[in-house]
Amino acid sequence: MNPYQPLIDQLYREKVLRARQRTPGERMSDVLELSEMHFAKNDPELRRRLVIVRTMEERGCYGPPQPRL
Amino acid sequence: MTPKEGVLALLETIEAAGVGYVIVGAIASGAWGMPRSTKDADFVVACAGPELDALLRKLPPSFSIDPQARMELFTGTLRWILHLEGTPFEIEVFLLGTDPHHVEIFARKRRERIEMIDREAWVPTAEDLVIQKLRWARRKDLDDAQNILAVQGGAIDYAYIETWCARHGTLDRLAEVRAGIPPGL
Repeated sequence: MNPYQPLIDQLYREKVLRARQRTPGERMSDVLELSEMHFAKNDPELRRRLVIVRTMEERGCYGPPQPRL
Repeated sequence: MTPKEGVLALLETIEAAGVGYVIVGAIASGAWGMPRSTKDADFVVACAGPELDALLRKLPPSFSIDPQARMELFTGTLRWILHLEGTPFEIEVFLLGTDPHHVEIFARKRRERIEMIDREAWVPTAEDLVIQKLRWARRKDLDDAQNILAVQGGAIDYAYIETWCARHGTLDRLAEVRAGIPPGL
């Protein structure tokens, strides 16, 4: 088993629960970003890595990545 | 032309012509599950091939169109592939054929806000997208199906999905995807 699987599952759960609470008009990408910030609030390095991963993921869908790093 | 501008241009051309359509694939999945990176957009349109040819000729010159329609293997429908100049982004346009589930998708389609283009458009229901994703069954399709089921939670009509999966022989894939959802969701 991937040693990071419990962490991955926790983050996934966080994202799903926040996505379910999304208000009309709220962008899903913002919901995912909020999930990451909350999930990794006590771990700046993890938060930085999550931002990099999501930015790479969004590249194809939302055009050039925003300068958020 | 950006992918967003390309999708909007095609959408507006189709809607102006009054042709029925649904957006499927990753862009539609984002309406029910979670958005992900994609290098293409997929439309299904309800018109004849010559009508679609005439419609596509109205698109801006930054579109190029593969000269020959291609056959999509799973459902035997015809598709046109549009390229956006200067980008690797493609838009695939499928003709609505006689595939029973495609017909059902059209009958049940919903108008939802699409994040990529920041406007409303016709998309399949969450259940119909899951059924379609389980049929295609590439890794990214199974991930999309799982995300839709997880985010929609108790709102999902599993009996409807199972009926179609039984017809398509994809019940095992449905079980696999459901097993991948972490407990408690």
